[in-house]
Amino acid sequence: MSFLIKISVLLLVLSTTHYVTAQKSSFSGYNESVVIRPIMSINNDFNLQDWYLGFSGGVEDIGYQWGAKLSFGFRPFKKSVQFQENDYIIRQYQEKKYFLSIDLDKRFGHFNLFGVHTQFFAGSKNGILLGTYAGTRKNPEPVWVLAPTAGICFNFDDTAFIKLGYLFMQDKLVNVDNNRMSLTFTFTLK
Amino acid sequence: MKIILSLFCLSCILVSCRKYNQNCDTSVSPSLSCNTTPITEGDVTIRLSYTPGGSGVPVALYLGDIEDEYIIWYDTVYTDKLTFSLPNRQNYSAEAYYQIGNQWVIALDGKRLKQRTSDECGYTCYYETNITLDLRQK
Repeated sequence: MSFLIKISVLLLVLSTTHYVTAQKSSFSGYNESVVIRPIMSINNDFNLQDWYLGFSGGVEDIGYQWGAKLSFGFRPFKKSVQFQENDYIIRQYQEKKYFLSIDLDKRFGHFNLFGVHTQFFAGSKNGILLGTYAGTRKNPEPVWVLAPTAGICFNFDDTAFIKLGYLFMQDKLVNVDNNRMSLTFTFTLK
Repeated sequence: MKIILSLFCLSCILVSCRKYNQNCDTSVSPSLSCNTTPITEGDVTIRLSYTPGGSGVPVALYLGDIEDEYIIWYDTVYTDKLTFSLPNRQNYSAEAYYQIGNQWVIALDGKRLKQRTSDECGYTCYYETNITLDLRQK
């Protein structure tokens, strides 16, 4: 059911693209040429149970408004996680977690929100979750993740971007929800 | 952006220089806050989920990881906090066993009890270190 809601949100975002591109007249100069800029970003993916803080480096095509970056994220604290070992035993570990990913996203649409040039974005974080448990040499199973994301992007003269969105990340933890918020600060380096 | 990066680099350089720029007078003793006697022990605190009046919680404390199977203490405890004074520069881990119906929740945590020191004009200063192993049931 929740998956249907997420699909609906994505469709809603995509369906509004025509509307916002119709507003584009005051935001000319896009989709005409490739303008690649190196970028750095600080990422936060969080919900009420978990938080990943991350740093990224990559490129942003200012012209066609897409970005690709290599990210390293980590949980800045140890988290208690539980696993059902068998019918009689539940194991509880203190877990450290890292997330290596390649992040891709596309910005589209242009409108003013509170006087700020604002866009929509959609993309995905694709990578692997690695971790360690405290007090044992056993480590959590690596988890391959393909996490779709979408939201709004505040565009400050194509030199800085604040992206606020929704991220669906299946980390296979029982006591952590798959639905997360994503807050990213991106800066172009020249 | 370049200005921010430049300021960041400059602050890194200043911080690294500060270490080598102390006003040292090696003819006098180190400051009073510097404890030059080596501290070889620290507190290992274990936190548990225990309801007063409830059944006790079996706990095992290990030197190293649990795979080393080096148990240094075990007992059934009736409190939510235990503290041990143990040698530092060692890893410690602990397990607690909670029974819920016909299931057992086995909580595990481990950390290294470090020896923390600093250098003050050629003198080694020692500081107390403590660790807390969190075996509270989530």
